[in-house]
Amino acid sequence: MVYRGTIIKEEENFIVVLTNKSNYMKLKKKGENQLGKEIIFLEEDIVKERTTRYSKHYAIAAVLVLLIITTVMFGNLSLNNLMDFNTYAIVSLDINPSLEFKIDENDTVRKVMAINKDGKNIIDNDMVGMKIEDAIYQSIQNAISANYLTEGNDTILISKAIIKENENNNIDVKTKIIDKIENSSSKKGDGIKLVYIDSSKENYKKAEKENISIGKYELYKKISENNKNVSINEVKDMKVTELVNKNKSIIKVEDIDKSDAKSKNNDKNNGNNDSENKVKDNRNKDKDKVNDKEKKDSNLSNDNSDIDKSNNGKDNIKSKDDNHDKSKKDYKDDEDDIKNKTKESKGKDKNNKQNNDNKDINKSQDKSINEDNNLKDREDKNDKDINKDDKDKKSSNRKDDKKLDKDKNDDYIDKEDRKENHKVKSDYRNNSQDKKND
Amino acid sequence: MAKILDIFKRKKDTLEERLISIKEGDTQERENLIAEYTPFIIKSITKVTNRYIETENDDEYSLGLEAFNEAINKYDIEKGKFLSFAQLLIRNKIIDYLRKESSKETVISIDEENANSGVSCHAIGEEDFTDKLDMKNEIIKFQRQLEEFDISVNELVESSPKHIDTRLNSISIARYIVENGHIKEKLLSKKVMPVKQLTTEINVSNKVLKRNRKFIIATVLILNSNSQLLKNYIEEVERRE
Repeated sequence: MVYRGTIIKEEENFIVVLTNKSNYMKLKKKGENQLGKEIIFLEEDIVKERTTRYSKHYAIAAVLVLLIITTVMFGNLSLNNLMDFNTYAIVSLDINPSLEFKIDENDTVRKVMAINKDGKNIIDNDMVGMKIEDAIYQSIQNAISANYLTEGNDTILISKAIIKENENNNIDVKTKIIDKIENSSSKKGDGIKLVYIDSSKENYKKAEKENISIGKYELYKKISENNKNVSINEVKDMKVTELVNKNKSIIKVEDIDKSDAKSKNNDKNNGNNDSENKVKDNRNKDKDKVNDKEKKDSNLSNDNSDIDKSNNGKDNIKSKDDNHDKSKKDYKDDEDDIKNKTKESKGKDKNNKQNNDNKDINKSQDKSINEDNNLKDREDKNDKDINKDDKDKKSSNRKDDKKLDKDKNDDYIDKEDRKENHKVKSDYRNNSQDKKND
Repeated sequence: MAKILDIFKRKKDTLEERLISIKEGDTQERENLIAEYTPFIIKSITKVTNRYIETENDDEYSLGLEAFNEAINKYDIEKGKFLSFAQLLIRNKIIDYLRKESSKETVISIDEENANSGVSCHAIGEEDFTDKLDMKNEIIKFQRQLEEFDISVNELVESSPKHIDTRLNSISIARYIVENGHIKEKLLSKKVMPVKQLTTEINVSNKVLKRNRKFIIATVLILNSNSQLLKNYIEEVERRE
């Protein structure tokens, strides 16, 4: 399309024309054209002011939008990357508030991050810029005052992953922290148990993916080697103390206060022994019952012999009998039961049934006594003294003597139980003797 | 694919066919082709002269048309593309013309120095010069008047209605103002558009008057001026109606 127009204004970079269609237009400047001259021009010569201005606006807007989008999308990433560039290592602290410290090559904390909600409660604003051991000490103090660290929940987990390898710098966080806590004047932190695990850059990345601290991730790895049923989420939510207690065999625990550590270790050992004994107790209950009787029997026999020997030493006998009384209590109870039964039966059927019941009881007792005797015989072989006593007891003459002796001794023995015991005992003896004679 | 190729072929064929039919004596087709390719001719000329073609001395333009016509006659399909051939011819013609022009001027100047016979030539030049000066003065006056209304030429470019119908509407309002002396006097003396008077006297909305204020005032100033060329432009548009 060909336009015609009169130049009505000349500017530095363009001219303005009034066209034959009574339109005002800006044109590109070409050569020397004077005001008032009519020219022929083409579409392409027109300076499209509006469109160009709009396009500029659009361009600026587009650039701004792009900037915003990129900052929104990649802002976090790039920030993280920058931070990673500065960080030398990651140190994590778990109580179960979990924290993560990013430290630089001078052990200075560059960034503190709470990995779970509780973690925020033990972060101080001034931790950034502290030395790592100070920052960890600080957070432990906070955890104690916030009751995260208590007597029952006293294990902390520290882990370190080196991000940027540097041969010159190898922070021994573990010893530094232990030193720091041990040397601190505050009593807080006494008796804390420390678990330290070294981690790696790879594991840090994995842990970051799982949103778990590196320390716990390492723990999880160790635990899952032994127990494949453990899920990472379980580990995430558990207190470190629970985790450590459940997996004592796998995890090395270090007590920070040395004196405390010793006593605790001893306690542990005692506890272990006790528990072992208990288990044994449960398993051998039946045997023990038998053994008890046996022992008591032997004790009694010993007593008798002792009494025989020490007719003159009244005090000795007393004290010895007292000692034996304790062991005899169980036995007494058993005997009392039997006696009660016999008494009851006696009361019911004074004449006829009495003998039968006694026989029955005797029979039942005989069986147990037989067993006792068998065991006793074995012991007897080992113990000649007891053998001698038995032999003595076997003789009927002696029995009478003993009874006499007992009567004498009864003056010194206050408890009636003892008499009964001896009577019963003598009954047993008689029965056993009868059997042997048979 | 075949269809696309067909379109290309047809286009080529049409240009070729047209040229063949023109050579065979189709004058109507020749005129059509030239009209169609005027922008191309103008472009080719400005490429050489590097300025807008002035309609006052349209020698360049007519030479361009001549060269294009010649190209149609001389064109041989085997020689290559028609358009590049035509451009070459136009270029050569214009360069020849510019050389002649510059040599003419030097001849005249020598003539002026050596003889008195150059008076007639000088007279023609003077006439042109005064014409141009008048035109220039008119336009400068127009600009000054616009400035009195606080309107710059740049603003005029930006705010003038783009669509021909709105322009015509605005022109008719301007025409009404010029033809009614009292409104025109009011406008020129107070430098403010008498909106109320206009809305009552003609059926125009307030909005239209406000939006096209600058264009209407500029048109009034042109119609009120002595510049026949600018007046012609407006009348040309009005005649289209």
